[in-house]
Amino acid sequence: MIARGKRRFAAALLAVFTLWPLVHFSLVRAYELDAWKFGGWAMYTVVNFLPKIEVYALHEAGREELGLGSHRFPRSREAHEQLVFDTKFYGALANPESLARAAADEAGGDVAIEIAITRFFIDPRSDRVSARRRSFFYDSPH
Amino acid sequence: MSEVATPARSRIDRWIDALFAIGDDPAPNDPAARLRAFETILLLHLFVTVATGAFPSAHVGVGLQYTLSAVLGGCLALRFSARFSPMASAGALCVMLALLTYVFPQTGNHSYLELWLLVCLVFIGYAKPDEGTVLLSTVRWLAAIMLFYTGFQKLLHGTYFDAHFLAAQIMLKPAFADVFGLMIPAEELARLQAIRWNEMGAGPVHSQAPLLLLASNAVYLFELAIPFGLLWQRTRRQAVVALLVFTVAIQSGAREAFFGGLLVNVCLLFWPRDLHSRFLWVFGTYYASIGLLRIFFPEVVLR
Repeated sequence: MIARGKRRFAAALLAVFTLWPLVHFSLVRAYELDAWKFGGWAMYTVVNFLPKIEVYALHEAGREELGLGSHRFPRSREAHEQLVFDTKFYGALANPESLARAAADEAGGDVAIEIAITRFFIDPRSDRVSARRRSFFYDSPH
Repeated sequence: MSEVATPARSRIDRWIDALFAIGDDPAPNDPAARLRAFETILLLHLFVTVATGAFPSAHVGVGLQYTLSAVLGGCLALRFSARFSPMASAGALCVMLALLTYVFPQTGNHSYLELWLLVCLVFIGYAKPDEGTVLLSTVRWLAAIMLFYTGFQKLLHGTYFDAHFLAAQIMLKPAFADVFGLMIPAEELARLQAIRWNEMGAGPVHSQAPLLLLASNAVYLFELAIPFGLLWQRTRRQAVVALLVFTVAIQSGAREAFFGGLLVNVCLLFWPRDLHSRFLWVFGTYYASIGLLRIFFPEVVLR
């Protein structure tokens, strides 16, 4: 007779396998996690567009978009790529602070930073491409 | 002479036994031969997938990819050794754990399925007939739950009722357009493919083509219903045939030849008799073909 422990192990495995997709759905809804990933069997359910991330330096005169393509911002460019990656997979759980710090340093140090994250989706009411934009503000470190 | 008392089964154990009885075969038999063939096909699948770069070439260096392929090839070879056979899946499980850790969070769901199957093979096993019965039942339940959730998640996210998702895929992916584009008028196809997804207000991303709406709703309804057909012993054969047809139809659009092979391998476990041992050579030919296709014709994108 097979050890009862093995049967219980198999049953526990099935219980986890059954419950995880429900947790997955809640996390996707709450934090905009990538529905296609993390083993929740929600691939081919939603269109997963790449997020658009803009970085601004905030001056008294107004705000200026930082051209991260320039050679002045090597660390910011790297942090920007990382944030695009993190936002695509972890949604609202992605933390823009590293990008803000790198951008502030490379923009001269004494500057406040705004990071705007835009996520595209297809609005089910209008059937058109729509976007949700969140902005994060970081004071000047000095 | 004193009798040895059999410990009374707790209520939870009785539920567990009832659960496994559902996934069991009507007549008791030793499923070791089919599980051995199933394991061989799974190891072959993992070896070809990693060796040809279907997973995870984009994320690891070529050196690591070839090293892991060699280890998986070794695991596949061990599978044919009487003495070291039990170590084959354990070795593959270690490789998969390392790979998934390295690639996370970009891991596709098929990799999690492979991981779960290896965990079952290693920790439940099939050396004794009772173990094999529980393993077979567990793997069948895993497959049924997975299939159910692929449909249930579509229902929860609500993107299939009016073919939103399929219209968006036609807009974004030529492989989808090749298959699902046949279900909509040519001007509708051209309109969807011309939409620029990163422009606010672009669209509308939908189609009222009756055939596409029918296909879109049929997909999740099928995925929700088929697990019940697979688990109910009287409808297993019909459900397996239906799932095979569905898999070929869907994967021809998604071009997921590797996941398709994995799904067929798992799906055939529901057949009341051992088909794995009999068709081992078919799986061998299939994986050799898609492996060679990936190597020599990389423009034919197979995942």
